Amino acid sequence: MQVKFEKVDSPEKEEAFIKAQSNTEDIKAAIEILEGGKRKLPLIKDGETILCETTAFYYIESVDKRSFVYTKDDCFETKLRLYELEETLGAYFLRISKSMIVNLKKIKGVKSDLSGRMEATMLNGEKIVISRSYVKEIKRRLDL
Amino acid sequence: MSKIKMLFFQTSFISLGIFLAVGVAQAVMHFTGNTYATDWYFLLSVILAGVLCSLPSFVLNAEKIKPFFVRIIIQFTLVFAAVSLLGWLFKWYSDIISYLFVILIFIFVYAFVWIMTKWFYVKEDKEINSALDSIRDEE
Repeated sequence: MQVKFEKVDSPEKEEAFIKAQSNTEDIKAAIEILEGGKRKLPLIKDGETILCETTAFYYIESVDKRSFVYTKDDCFETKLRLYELEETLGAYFLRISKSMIVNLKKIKGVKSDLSGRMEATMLNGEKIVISRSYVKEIKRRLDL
Repeated sequence: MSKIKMLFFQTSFISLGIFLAVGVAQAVMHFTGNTYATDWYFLLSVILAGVLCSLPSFVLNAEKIKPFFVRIIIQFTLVFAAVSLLGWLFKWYSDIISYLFVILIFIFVYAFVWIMTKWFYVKEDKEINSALDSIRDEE
């Protein structure tokens, strides 16, 4: 396959476009890498450090300057700050409030109430609040 | 949607709602043999009303005020006060009957703006949910 690289001047302009006859396992793997998946980060649970795939992350919350990673049914601490995680994690992870980053792939659905507050229901049934000022960025990431 | 954009939409909905209500009232009065002419500054006063009445919507985002209906009551009161003040300044009413008519239009516009806002949020939610469907992980 012929691969072209073109330099752009901002992260918003970064994109990868794959033209192929079929979506093979190699292409799927390449997409995973480009989207920031299949990457492991060290997380702390009960004093033990374990490596966890970022694709398992549901959301990350910052509480009292400490960052916590939430998966389907577990919670871990990470030494990384939210802004560092924002840079490290893939395109489907994005900030939804000052203290939270969410994995868009783990959202079951969103619903706005009359006050304009948007609530996201995660695949495990948990509900988190999306600040209205971040909705524009969500739509941009989803190409809306 | 950003707060500025929301403010712009609210202003547009309020102004549109007033134009709609006054337009219908004028049409009804015309076909029942009455006349109702507006002053030269009426259109500008409606747009000003739109801007002024959209500002209290910031109260709705004040998370510290709970429960939500208290925020609605505060917002409603502020908007009502703004309409009464503007009505007095721009002579939308001259007696109790015309003031009641202004209140009637205000209630119509208030409901209209809520319906439009809800419609806008539902439409936005649908768009996002539809886009999420295509990227969602299987659990």
